[in-house]
Amino acid sequence: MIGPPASQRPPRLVLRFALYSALALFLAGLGILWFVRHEAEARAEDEVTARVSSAAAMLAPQLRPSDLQEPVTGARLIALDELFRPELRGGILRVKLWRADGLVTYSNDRTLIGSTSLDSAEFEEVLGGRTIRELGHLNDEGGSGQNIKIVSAYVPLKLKGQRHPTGVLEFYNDYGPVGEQVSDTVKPLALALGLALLLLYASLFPILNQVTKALENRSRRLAQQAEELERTLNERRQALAGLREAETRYRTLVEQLPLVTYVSAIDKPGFSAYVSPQIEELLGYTAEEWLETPNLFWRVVHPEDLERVRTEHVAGYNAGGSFATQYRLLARDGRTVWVEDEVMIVHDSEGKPLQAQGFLLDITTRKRAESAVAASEERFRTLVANVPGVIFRCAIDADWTMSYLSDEIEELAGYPSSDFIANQVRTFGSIIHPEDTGPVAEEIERAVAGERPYTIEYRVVHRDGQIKHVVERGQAVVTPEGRMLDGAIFDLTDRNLAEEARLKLAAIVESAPDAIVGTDLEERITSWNLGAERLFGHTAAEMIGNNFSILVPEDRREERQELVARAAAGEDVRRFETVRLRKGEEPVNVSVTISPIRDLTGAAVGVATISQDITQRKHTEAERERLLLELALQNERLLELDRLKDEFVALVSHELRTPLTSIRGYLELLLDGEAGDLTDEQRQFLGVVERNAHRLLTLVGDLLFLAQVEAGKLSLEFGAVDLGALAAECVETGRPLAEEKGVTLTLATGPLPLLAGDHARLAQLLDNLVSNGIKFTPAGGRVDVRIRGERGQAVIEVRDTGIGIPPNEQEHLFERFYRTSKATEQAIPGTGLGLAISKAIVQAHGGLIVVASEDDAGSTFRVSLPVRQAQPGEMDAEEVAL
Amino acid sequence: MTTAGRPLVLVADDDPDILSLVAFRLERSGYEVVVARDGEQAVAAALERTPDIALLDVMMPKLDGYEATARLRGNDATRHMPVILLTARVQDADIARGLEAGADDYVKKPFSTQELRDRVQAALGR
Repeated sequence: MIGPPASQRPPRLVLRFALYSALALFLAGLGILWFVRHEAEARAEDEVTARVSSAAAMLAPQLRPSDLQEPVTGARLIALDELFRPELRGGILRVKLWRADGLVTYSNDRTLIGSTSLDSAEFEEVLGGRTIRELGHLNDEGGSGQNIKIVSAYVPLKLKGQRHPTGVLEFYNDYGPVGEQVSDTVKPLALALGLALLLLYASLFPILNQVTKALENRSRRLAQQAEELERTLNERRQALAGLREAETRYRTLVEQLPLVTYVSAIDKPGFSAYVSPQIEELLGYTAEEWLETPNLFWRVVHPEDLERVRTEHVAGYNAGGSFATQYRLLARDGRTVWVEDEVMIVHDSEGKPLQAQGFLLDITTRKRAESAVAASEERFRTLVANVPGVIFRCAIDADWTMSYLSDEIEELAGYPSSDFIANQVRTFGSIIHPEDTGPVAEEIERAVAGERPYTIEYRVVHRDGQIKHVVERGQAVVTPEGRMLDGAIFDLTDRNLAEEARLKLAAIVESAPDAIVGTDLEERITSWNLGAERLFGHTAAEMIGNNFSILVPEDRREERQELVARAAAGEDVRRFETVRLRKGEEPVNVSVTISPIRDLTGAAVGVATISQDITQRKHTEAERERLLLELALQNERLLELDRLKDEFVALVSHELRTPLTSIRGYLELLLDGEAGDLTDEQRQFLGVVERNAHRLLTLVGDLLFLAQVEAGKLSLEFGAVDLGALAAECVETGRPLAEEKGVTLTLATGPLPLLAGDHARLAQLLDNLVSNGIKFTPAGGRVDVRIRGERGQAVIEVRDTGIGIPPNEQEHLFERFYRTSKATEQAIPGTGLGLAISKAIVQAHGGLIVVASEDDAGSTFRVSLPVRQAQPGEMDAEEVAL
Repeated sequence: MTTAGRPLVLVADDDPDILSLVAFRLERSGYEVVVARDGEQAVAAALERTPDIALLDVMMPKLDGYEATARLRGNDATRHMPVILLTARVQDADIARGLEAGADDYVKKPFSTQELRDRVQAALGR
């Protein structure tokens, strides 16, 4: 700020100082006067107060309550005048007597009686004990007409015998004498004060003047400097304005370029010093953010490019020249932005790198276009590679000179694509089957001439000599290379195979003995094989397109729908037996199997129903059922018969025993000589009788035993059996018979633990086997009995050198009443029960009996019994090893 | 009761031949024999004569041997009389039934009269 001219200031300052100080002096004088006067008045008042108080104190006892009533009688007025008179001489000008309601009841100036002046609030104050003092002029009251300055005072009036004041006594005092007295004392003081002030002022003035002059000089110098500054400032302002204009122009240029300009400190790559506002549009961060945020640049460089950009920047900054690079930045919203960064390092005059400056160009679109081209090329390449055929472009010439031929050709012809391009190794014409070359050329020529696409089938000869059927579709096109042929070649060989397979399958379906009918989802018949024709009587021509329901009886329609639905849903419907209608509504029993027909996507498009005529089977089944029933009945009858037989046998054996008892008993008596002595002949005859009675008894016993076995009533009395000892007994029993026949009978016993078994039955078994052996062995033969342990089994072997058993009879050997042909022929006595009983005994012991025999070469019966309940104490090491 | 010190044996069987045979053999062996042709007779004879031992056939008319044995066992006079059953039924179940009915022993038909005599002697403690 620049002040007013310096030359004008000093006189004014002095003048103002003079004026202000004079005014101050004047005011000080006024103050002194006010003080003096106030002091005088205060003194006068105090004096009056003292005076009226003493007056009131003296007068009050002489006043009566009636003096406060109106009107005060004439005599009392006079008396009161008398009373107050002395007071009036002592400087008091007037006396008034006030009633509480403000009415004057007495005044020494009679004109004032009956008037009112004090209000009730003032009265209250006075009656409460305060004395009101005030200055006034007597003539203001309209009273005596004298213009006298007075001090009036009110004193509460408490009459004799009263507790509270009931009236006020007012005195008017002449101020004059009091005021003069005061003035005399105060006036000299005031004068002295005023004089002192004047003196002070006079002494201050020269100092003031000197200061003023110094100030004047100083302000003049300042004014000169200010002027100079102003001039420089103006010059600078002008220069700045020029600069601003230039900067604005430059900035506008920079900030309107379609690129981001930046300046970076040499040690801080990124946009550390300046970046143009386009950066916000490019990346979403404002220019300010870039300057405020260190390292923001490195945070937005695409991670994949980060390492490269760093390296390039370090190298570029070190090299000090210019460099350009492309990389990706991540915008605030996540976009990837490709930029081209042109960096230039600026040096100072000494050649030291100063800063880096450069610009970023958004090349995202260009990059995208580049990658789109690449992607499109890749797409084309994979597309062509995935096409199951050969794609080509060739010249329309005799060699079909290829300008493009997809790699698939190698699969088709066995030669790489490059062989054919520009006929480098071979021509495409060379792989066309010689017989087809002509027709192919003709057909293509016709199509080209007619400007229409063509489809031709021909053969290609594969490198390995295989003939491939192909179909070629193509069309002439105009290309930058001229008129060319574009097309695709597909290998039909596979298709032919598929077709073949389909035909084979169709043939199978057609020749299948079962009816195979295809239907769509609406149950329309789509296929009908010969089997169907045979079963249902309709021909395929009649049925294709018709509804399947023609074949289904009314009451089976719902069932058919359900079966189809189940099959279509993927459920297994197999060999479902139902009824269908032949031509002419004749019902036929069929077994159906339904499977879904699916399209390539796996969706069911219909079902195939295989129906098999089961009329014959049903018939057979019924027949079988009947036979089975019959058989069961027969079986039951047989079982009943068997039971009756068993009962019969039991009964018979019992009934036979009783007479035998008598026969044997009496024979015994006779032979005992109880009926007298017998001759030898008699004894011999009775011996025969007894022997036959014994045979009969044995037979009865055997029959009974077998009856028991078959009734399942055979019960064994198990005990510990020493098989060796038992065998020895049996052999001894058989020995007389053997000796009688001239047969050698031997026993060999190996180590054997005790066996759990029925002693009596096992004895019976051994007896049977031994006696059989003797019976069927002629004189001079042998019967060898061996007992031994073998793998936890007790084995009994009875080997004879007898007549043997023909192989075809061996299987019946253990049947009841079965006798071999030889036994019958040679009349060897026997009932055919022994071996059946033996087998029953062996089986009851859980064992096995087998026979090995050769005709005329003897027989070996081998019994193996499981060793159970062996007595540990009676086993030795050898036995344990069994 | 015995006559002249000979033990009295009751033999019951519906077959007269067997009855004679047994009676003959026992009498020859020093026993006095009383015979019965059926079960009822046997029980009546036993109560009347209180024999020393009874040989009862199992299969008899009117009252079979089991039942007759049971009756004898039910009477105080014959409660402790030895009873031997003569039986053509030789199955285990039949024998068990006889012993359950109270018989002391059994002899299977056909039997040897000597064996029978031995059994009687054994039963009488001789």
